[in-house]
Amino acid sequence: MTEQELIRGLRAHEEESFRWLVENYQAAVYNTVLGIVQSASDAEDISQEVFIQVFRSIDQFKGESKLSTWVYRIATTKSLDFLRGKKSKKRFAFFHRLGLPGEDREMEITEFHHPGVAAEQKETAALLFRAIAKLPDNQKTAFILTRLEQLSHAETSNIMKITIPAVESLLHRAKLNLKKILKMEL
Amino acid sequence: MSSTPNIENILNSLEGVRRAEPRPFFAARVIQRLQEKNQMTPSFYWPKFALAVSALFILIALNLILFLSPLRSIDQAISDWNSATPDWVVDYTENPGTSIYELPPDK
Repeated sequence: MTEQELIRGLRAHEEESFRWLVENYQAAVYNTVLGIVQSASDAEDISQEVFIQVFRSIDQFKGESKLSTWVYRIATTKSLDFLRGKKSKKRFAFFHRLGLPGEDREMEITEFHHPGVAAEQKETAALLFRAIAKLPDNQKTAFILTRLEQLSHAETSNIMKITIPAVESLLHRAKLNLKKILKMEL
Repeated sequence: MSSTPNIENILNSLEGVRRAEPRPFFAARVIQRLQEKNQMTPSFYWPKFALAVSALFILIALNLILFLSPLRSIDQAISDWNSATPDWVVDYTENPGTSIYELPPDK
């Protein structure tokens, strides 16, 4: 199925086209979302939401970029929105917890193991993901898209709607910040 | 021993990483969720719409009551107040011998 046929099918709300889209993009979407939110159950839920939004707002897709770029953009936006929502919930929960005795604070820092990481890298990757979670949103997105999803700088720049030098700058700053965070944690 | 090589090792730990895949039958679950959402949409929005219309009608009704009927009833109340004779005046007029105020008994 060509991209044009796929878009035509999605616009006509054909289930077959939607199923094709999900089956061919699910790994890309899930892997990106998982890298950002670092929770398998949340990633599954958000990935489903991404495809539902693609299906519902396909008429807004102008075809200025590849469909995959647009899908990645929705996936990163939804993941970052989810993290922001989680952060604000935590802020409210903090005030709620003030009155309660000794709640388990370690619960908040959960160790994340990406299923695609080789067994011998498991521990170091967990430390890296912990540091990635502390990066600013744009650095986090650039790092996940290029390092985890292994997209080119050009593709990442299209997804993030920034220039290639801007992506390179974000990656440079992300690396410096990760070094700083890891130095403090080790 | 410097921690720098260790950090470099950590930073490179995503090299050769495989893509994570969702659980099997992901597409089926998404389609089911989409169908559920599509079915839910009209019934989900209907109560909200009905509530909004009801609230609007109640607001209009309250406005009509407040703007129309109170004007007459307030005027009526003022004129009733002005024309009314207090009970003590009636009592005194009918029985001029009675005192208006309760005086303490003379000793």
